[in-house]
Amino acid sequence: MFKKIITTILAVSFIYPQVNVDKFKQLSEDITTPNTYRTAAGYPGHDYWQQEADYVMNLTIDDETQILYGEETITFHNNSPDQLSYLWLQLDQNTRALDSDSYSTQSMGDFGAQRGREKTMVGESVPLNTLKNFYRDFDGGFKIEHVKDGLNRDLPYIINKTMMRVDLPKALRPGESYKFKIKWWYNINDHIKDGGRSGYEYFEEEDNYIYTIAQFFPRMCMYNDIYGWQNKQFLGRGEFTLIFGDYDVKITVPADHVLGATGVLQNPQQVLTQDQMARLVEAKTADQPVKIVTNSEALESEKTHSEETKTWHFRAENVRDYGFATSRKYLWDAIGVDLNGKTIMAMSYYPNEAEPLWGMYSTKAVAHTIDVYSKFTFDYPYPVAISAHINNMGMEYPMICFNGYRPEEDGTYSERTKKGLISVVIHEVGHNWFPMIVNSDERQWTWMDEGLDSFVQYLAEQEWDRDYSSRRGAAGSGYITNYMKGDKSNIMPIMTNSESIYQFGANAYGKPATALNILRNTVMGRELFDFAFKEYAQTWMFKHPTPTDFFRIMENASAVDLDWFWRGWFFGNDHVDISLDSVDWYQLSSMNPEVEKEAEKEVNDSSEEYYGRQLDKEDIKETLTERDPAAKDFYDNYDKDQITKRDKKDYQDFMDDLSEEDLNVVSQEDHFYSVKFSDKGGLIMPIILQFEYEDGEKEVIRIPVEIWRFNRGEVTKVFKTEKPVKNMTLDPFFETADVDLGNNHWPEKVQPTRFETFKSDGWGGSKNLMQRVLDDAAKPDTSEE
Amino acid sequence: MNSIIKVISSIFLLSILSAHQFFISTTEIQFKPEEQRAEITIQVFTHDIDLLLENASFKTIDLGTDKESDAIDIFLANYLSDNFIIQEYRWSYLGKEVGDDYTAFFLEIENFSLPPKISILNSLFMDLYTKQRNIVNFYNDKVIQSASMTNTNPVFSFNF
Repeated sequence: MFKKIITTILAVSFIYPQVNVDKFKQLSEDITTPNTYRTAAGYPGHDYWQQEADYVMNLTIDDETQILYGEETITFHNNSPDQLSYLWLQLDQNTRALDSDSYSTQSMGDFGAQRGREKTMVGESVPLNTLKNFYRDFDGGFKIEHVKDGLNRDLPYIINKTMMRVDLPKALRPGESYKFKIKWWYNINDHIKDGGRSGYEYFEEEDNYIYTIAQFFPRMCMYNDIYGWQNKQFLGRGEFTLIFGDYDVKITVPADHVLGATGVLQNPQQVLTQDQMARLVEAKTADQPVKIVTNSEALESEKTHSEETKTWHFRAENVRDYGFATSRKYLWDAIGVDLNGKTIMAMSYYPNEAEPLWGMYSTKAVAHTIDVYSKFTFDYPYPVAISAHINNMGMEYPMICFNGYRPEEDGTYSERTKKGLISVVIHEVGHNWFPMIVNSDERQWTWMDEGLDSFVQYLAEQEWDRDYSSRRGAAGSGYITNYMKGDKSNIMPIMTNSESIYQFGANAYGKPATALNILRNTVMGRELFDFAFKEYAQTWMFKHPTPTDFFRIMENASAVDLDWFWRGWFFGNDHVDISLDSVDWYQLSSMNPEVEKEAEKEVNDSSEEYYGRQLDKEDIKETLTERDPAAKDFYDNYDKDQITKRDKKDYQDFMDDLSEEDLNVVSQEDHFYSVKFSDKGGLIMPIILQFEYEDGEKEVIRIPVEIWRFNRGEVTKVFKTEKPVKNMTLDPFFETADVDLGNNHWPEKVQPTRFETFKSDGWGGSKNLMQRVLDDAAKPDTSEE
Repeated sequence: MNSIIKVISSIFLLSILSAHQFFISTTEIQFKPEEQRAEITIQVFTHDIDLLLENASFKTIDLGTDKESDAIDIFLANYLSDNFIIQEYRWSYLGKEVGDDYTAFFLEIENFSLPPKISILNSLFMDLYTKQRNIVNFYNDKVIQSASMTNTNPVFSFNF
């Protein structure tokens, strides 16, 4: 019986092969199967588990040699249902080791992943920086001194480049914890020269350093229900997969340093002055940021190097990573942010070189981020949020981020720089939510943190200033549409993920964030979207969600079928291009012969005569019926256009037979427009149509995306209007990322290209720069300078 | 103009600054057969122009304002002529529009007729970043051909 069914099923699938791509097909085959760890609704299942690890660390930074020394005790909690006989740790600094894979897998000139510092061998001359790479002698990477267990016995371990495996003497059972110790040191890298996500900046004239330190310790890899151990080599480009834990960290630095770190300072009496502590108290309730270390104090501090040290002690709960920034050049300001009765300290650390820009905006941007992101997701659960300055940087850690942007030497800055700073601070602080707290796997799914953070960042920017996104001159139009409509072989769907495929950053940032905005404004509406998005964030707070969980929960919390949307935006590489192809106008027949016959006669009279007939009028001098009137009868004399008594009676009978309802319909003077749309781009969207009536009034009609359900790329819809329509516009408010606005109008409108607009703006026609400059030179000098 | 396009603008900008950066420019070439002309619009991140100018010791604070010096346009036009080359055709530099996030350059070729094959070099910013990718969309009336240039393949030949 069973065999028979299988055969039938196979036969059936063979007979009806899938020819049409069903855009509305449910996603179930493309996403992971629900299980007891993750439910079909997108929530953690009743068996959900996650690993955790606590760290107790002692660190020292040697300001003379730029070396970091560290000792840590790791307590790893095995909350999985599995036995583990070894543990994997990641050694991210090893990408800088002399024999690192990062170097051998990079093409010439790839060094220094930082903007503005890469050089490549294009052209005949070779930039010096490229040659310098041959003489690279920076001895980076962790130098491991020992790995011991809780009783100080050596543990066997093996290092595979950026991964270290520690073999446990006895397998770790489910529910058990394991404690072990590591001692190490490493050379801190020059961030400005070598790029990367941490390092120092050296100020040669004063012989001073800014240190922004991260990825500085051997740390636990992720072990989970999706793929076991996440132990793919860290090549420098992918990001981090990290687990939660509590950190207890002591950092020893020169006594004149100002230090900001993840966590709450445990020993302010030992490391802060009375003044500083008093100012911090003031900052808690102040309206404007308060300087804890002032400009002049920092300037003074730069002049000498203290021989003594101080140890700063921090504690952080439930964080997935750790970072800190320290320098004697740092100013420090702070403000308290009141979040539903709780006070969060928003703080910034920056040198005088970053003034006045940073003093004006950094801490305010941090505070603003806390307000807005909390509103859309959940209250920021940590006690502090810090923005620390180092040149050319933008990187995020729990409670602290490192950001660049500096004014000119004279303190002036362009509006671009200002907006740049505000945006980067919002974005980096925003990362606390995604992925620091809603802890998605950055390495597997970059878009889950970048795309979501970018999306909320946009919302935060709109709340900073209404005109934040107004652009003078060139608008951003063209970028994403050009990207999406171009050569598809360059565009990987967002959900294909592999570190070896070139992934456009646009896929991680721009496309998902655009998609979420469309979802919010157009497809779901703000009320439904905001609720579902908050539900996602709050459900997966301090846990590890996957894309499947996100897709499922957005649907479950909103009752909006979104599979078509995820499929289109995340699993495919189509673009949006819906066109308004044609419009036919109809009006209902009144059935009244007095009206209809008149109308018909008009139509007949006005329509052109068959050409042959026109010629006959000339050529045929006399027809038979003209010659012989006796050949004419009733039919010849009958005026077809005349309204007979019979017609009138038929009409009366017809009207008498009509019900109230029918009478109502027939007596209307409505207009009916049959409009044909086609899907040219592949990525379907709801249809948003604006009518402009003859009297100038406008009306917008929104048709849900399901209209495309049964139609192969073409849809015809009839609209009833009371007034005649003058013109129609598809996607009038630019909601759908339609790449071609030229086919969105009826009657057809020719859209000027940006080029044409530029030229017509009275630039001077097609004169080139040379001519323009010469022309200007020929004019009399009337400038005021 | 509160459009979805503006969403994308701001999102694209910030990504420049964080550790995960991306490097793209998009160029549109419109061939107008009736007028025998090609109109070229090159769109880049303003941030990249800033960097280019800073490396050449220009002050960028006045870029895009009335106070911008003509020397900047001359420099940029020269940079473009070294890095954006259409085989056997000389384009004229009409000018640029500078925005907070994006800058667009406008170039034009007059007396342009479509040859069966045309090669284009686009190595913009490849001297700054190895990962730079330049997209070129060539419109022959409504038909679009597109190419994506990288530092290993900065040249593409379009066939008509």
